[in-house]
Amino acid sequence: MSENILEIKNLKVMFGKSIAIHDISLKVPKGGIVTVIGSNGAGKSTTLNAMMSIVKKTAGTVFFNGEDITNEPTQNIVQKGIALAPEGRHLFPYLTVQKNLILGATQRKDKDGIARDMEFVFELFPILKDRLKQKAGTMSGGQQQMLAIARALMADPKLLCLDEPSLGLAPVVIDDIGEKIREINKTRGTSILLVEQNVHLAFGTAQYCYALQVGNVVAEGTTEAIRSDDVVKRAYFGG
Amino acid sequence: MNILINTLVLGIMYILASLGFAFIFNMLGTINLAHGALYMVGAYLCYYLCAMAGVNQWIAMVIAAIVLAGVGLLLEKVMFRPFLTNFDRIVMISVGLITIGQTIANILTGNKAMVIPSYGSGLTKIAGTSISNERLVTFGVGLVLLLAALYIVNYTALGRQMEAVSQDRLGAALQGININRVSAIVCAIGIALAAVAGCFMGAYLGLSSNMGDTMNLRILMLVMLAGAGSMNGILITGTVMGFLDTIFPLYFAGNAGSAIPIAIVVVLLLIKPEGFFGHELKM
Repeated sequence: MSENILEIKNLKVMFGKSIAIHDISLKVPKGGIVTVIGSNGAGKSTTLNAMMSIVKKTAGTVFFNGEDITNEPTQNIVQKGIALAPEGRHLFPYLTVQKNLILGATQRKDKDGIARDMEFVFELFPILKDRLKQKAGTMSGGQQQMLAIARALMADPKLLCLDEPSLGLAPVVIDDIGEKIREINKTRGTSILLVEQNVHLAFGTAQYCYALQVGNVVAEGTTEAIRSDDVVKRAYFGG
Repeated sequence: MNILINTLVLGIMYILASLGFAFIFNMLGTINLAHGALYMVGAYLCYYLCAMAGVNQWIAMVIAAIVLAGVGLLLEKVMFRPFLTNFDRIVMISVGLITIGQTIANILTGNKAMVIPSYGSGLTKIAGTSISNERLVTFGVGLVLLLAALYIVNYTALGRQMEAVSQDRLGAALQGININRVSAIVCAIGIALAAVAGCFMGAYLGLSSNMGDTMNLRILMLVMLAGAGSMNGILITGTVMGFLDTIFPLYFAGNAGSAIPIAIVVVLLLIKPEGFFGHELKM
């Protein structure tokens, strides 16, 4: 056992001959909220997808709870306890909200636990209970994002990864999502890795922050430190 | 009455043969051009088991279905999985398979007329009309298999996972669904169903090396008419297709009988290119 639930060491990803991620290392402490910020093409999503074995890692290792999961297939990683709500949500648009949620629990066998978590996500996002029989694709963007997070939670993850949950949402809804993320972290003790372009949401939610630029970590530190960091300021606030 | 039962028998066979094609189309996003050829291979295998090894035609059908299910697993592994993003290559391999299958069938058949032993003998009187038991049995077994397939798709975890994979592959992988395993099972079931349809049709209409082409054409039309992602649509278009193929040969001699249904389908597709029961309409 280690005190970090997730540790990515020297990750490198290449798509053909182009380098998507040059060298990224990051850690998520148990029970913590960590955010990864950076502009388009910085390699944020690729880092998550490589971690989940959705895209191939060229080099580097991934440890989850002290266990090497670098070469595990995606379904085993989910089963071990990492869930990713991907960028663009990737819901099953023609299935009902209910079926989407059940599919989130694909790797689980504990019926009672699944029922309990179903209740938990309904408490967290009451709107989903009202829309149980509605097709996921017919809901609004904010509701779809809630469903994506809820579906990821149905896997009962120890580490919940959220890729750009703010994408395309109204500021009010983004604040709401941020609140829910903190609530999940507090009530379930789930560690959270939040990948965001929206620094407002990222800084408001996380305790620790990594800033990426073209496939490298250019700055890291507590959110307070990063907020005043010159490199980050120049990149994000036009300072 | 006879028209009705012929419509139903042909329709259900078309549907059975098409289901696997539609599964593969929806889940893997590619078309299995060799589906008709596999349907033919199933029929020939069944025939030779009966004729050479003296196996009962029912047992021969089951063996053919199991062997073809194995072929399905193999195809998924060597053809679909590695070349999923390479449509050209899948087409090349399929065409190769079709050619090999048909050539072997041609060498075996020559110009002999071969028929699989009937799956039912005698007649039954229903509402004043005599209907051959073979047709009733074909329809009955077809219906049972179809209902089983529908049950799997709509009410089991496998069916749910199939839907998930066909709607969003990345989303499905991230839920911990083993996409390769689900795809392999679906290929096996789908191609086994085609083999069963081949056995029945081989008993009903006899064997020929181009029976696969005829069926391939039906399958393509049916699935296009139904629209992508629609299971229930296939049931309806399959029945309509069976009806067209029953009714027109009665009134038009020779090739016109099979050309007119195709012409009708072409016109329907001109009106509604996305098909009649696809996702666009379900929303």
